Amino acid sequence: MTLRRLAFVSTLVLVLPASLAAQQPRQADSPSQDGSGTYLKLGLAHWQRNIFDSQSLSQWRGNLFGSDFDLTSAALEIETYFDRPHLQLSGWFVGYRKDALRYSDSGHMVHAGLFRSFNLAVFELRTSGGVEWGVPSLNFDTTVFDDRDDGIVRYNHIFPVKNADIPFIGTKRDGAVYPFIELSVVQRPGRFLLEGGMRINIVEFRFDDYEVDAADEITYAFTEKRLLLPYLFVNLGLKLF
Amino acid sequence: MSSSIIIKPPAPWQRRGPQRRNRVALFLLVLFASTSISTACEDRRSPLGPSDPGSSNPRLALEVTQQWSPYVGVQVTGEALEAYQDALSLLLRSGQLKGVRVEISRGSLAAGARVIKAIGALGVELLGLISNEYLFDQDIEQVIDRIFAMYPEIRYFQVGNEITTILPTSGPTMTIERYMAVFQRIYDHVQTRYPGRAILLTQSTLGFSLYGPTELETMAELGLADMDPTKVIIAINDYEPQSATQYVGLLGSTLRRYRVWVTESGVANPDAHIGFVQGGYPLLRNYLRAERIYWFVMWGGDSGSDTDFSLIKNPGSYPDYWTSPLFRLLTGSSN
Repeated sequence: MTLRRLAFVSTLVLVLPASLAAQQPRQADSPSQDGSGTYLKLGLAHWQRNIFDSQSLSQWRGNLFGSDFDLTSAALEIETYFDRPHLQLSGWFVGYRKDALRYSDSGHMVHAGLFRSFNLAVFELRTSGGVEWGVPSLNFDTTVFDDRDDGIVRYNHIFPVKNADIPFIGTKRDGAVYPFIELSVVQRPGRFLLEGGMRINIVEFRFDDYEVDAADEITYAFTEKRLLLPYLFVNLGLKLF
Repeated sequence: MSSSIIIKPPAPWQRRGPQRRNRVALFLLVLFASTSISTACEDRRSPLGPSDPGSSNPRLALEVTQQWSPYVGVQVTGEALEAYQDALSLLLRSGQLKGVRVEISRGSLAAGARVIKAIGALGVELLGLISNEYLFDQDIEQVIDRIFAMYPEIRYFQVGNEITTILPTSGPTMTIERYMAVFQRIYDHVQTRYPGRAILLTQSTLGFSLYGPTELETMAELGLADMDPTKVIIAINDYEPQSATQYVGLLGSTLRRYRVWVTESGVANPDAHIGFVQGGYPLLRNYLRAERIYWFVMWGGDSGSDTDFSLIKNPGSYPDYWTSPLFRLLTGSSN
């Protein structure tokens, strides 16, 4: 089911801009000659607080900036627009995002990706894809306990799979790596770059159920799923050269 | 293929000089950065709530008792026994106590046993911490036989505590490799000689910095991960719940099947005890999936570094001993 959703969203992200672009006057389906350059971008992102109640976009709640959100991230990114398309791509970017600023031990993610930009009448529509690696925020870990009167303890532990190593420090499986896709709207007035959009991280999660009875017998039910973790972002960039 | 270029008249901001544009751009970038950071800071989840706002606040009391884990560490000291019995009874009657962690120490075996058995007689479940000093004994199996015979009422035994960090360098110290060899012997002995008699807890690794997690990872590599997860529980002492990142990966992979108990947690400031339970305990459950959290400590002495962890002080002045705001809130007492 999740894979079907993933395929659906991926198709939307990748095909929709092309479809829209095809309907526009063919003024520029790729960055124009003076559109090349390298930008330094600062960004702000907002995540949904409880991803476990709504595991896909179809169930995403509408109150984007209401009390259901409490994870805000700050990002720094460098991106380059090619002077002409290469393999249908308009540019590349690398960046760093800090999730949950209070906690210095987690929520450090670096990413790299490629994008394709479509010049529409008043803005650019951009699709991007890439890979993110780092120590995910502990905001994504949750455990719900049910201590019953008969001595049985049940709990459900949900967490992103740590499938990568952060070399030279800590334990061997302390990091995560996963792909992402992005859809954004960009304007580049003069030296500025203004961008707003949505990123969807495609992260594998584990859903572990434990039950410990009064005699300390323990039973497990472990499952894994790839979840789509969407967040909204805005970026402000300045052209470096 | 060349792309067409649409030439538009310059916008007002484009007609200004390049220096001014640069200044405006720089100003806006700095403004955006500062706004981003201040907004991001607003999502801070403080692990510490308000300090001792008083036990007369029923909403606060409900919040704290919902997060509280009904387990406490008690230092086995005969001089405090009356106060212990009184304080533990109060917690029991309030429904805020199920179990107590006590140290089984070689130095004061008989006196310690008297205190431990008096505490057990209150009806609390006991977690017996087999003192580090025992682990140097050449015949560790015989030590286990004696302890099991002395404490038939205890089902949970922890084998050592912070073994590589707590022992003074002036005396014998133990590496984690040597510890795991001892732990393996005890595990084998218990499974062979006393099947079903006891659940063993590992020595507590420290919960902050990278040291504890990497030590636990080494323990897993040295045989812990091959032991039966229904016979062994992972023990962690964690005083900094927000720094559990390195444990998370380990507990979610190699040690995924093992239960986790936090055998010591707390804060050395009576005014911050309540906030620690409110903010820190949920993090320990979330990140470490800790089934239990033992508060450190019922009484940490009337002076010294552990004293401000205490739920009670001056036990010698029983029945007029001091109680912390957290203790008063849990028991609903006013004194």
